[in-house]
Amino acid sequence: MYDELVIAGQRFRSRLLLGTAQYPNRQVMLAALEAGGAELVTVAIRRVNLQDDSESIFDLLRDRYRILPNTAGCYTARDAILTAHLAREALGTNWIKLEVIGDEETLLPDVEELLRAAEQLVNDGFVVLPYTNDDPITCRKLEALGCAAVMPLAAPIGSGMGIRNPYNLRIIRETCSVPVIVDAGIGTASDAALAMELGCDAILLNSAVARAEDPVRMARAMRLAIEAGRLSFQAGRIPRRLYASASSPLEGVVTA
Amino acid sequence: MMQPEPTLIVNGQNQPFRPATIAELLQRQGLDPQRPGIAVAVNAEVISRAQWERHALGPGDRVEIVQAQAGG
Repeated sequence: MYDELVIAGQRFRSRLLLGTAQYPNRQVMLAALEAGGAELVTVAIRRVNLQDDSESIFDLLRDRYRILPNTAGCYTARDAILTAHLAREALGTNWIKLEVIGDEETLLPDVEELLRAAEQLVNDGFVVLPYTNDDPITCRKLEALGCAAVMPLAAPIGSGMGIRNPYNLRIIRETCSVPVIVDAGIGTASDAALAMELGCDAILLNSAVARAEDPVRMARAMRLAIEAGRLSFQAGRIPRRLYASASSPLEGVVTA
Repeated sequence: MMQPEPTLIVNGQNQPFRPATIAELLQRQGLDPQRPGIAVAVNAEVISRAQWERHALGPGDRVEIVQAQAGG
């Protein structure tokens, strides 16, 4: 049996969700998505630029990936709800990465607006994947509202600061039954491995790969780290102890 | 006193209002209404693609035409 990630009844082999922004160019983006083994990729919803006649990112990705639109840039439940509805109409998916942020310096979620938007979108028939603070209570509330996963941040978006509060992530994993997807703050492969060792179900990241010096190589590093972290979590690590514990037998040691 | 010219606000830009359906507006903007991946809202309400040929725009309407872009 393959160790699958299941979100709202959909099965995924990959536990890495990748963003599509900030790559040096589209060719590198496509190569990185491939190297990362992602099946779910995020996009934003923006006003059509009438001057830009390059191939739309939707056309580029639609045959290869399940597209997860986001509500990035929304500061109110009202804007996020409209954006989600536009995304559903434009892309033909009822899945939404719900993002409602509180200020532009930190890009941290506005919990009050987030909960309001989540409730409405669940009622409107969306599969809601909310980007949230690493707060167990908020995550519990989001699950109770009917969200299909919770996506706590490791650190602020694009900060690359890694897992700032591993204990909260563990509590979230223990108290929620929907998948826990760490979204934002991952800086390098060991951060992703640590999140998976804590028991998180998947990682969503963008900057750490797209802005790496070699995005394709970093995407592969993330894929391997996530796989290693997952295996390590399932295998069960040894307890920590202060003093040494010999691994070689103590009996039969040669003496001179 | 002169009445102000009626306008249409398309993606945040004012333009003179001329009677049109959504499909006609899209064509006027140089967008093929058959093109997949776009969505339209009028006055903050999504109008489904099936309605584009029928939905007549009114003076002062705020129209948003969106598509997917690279995002995280």
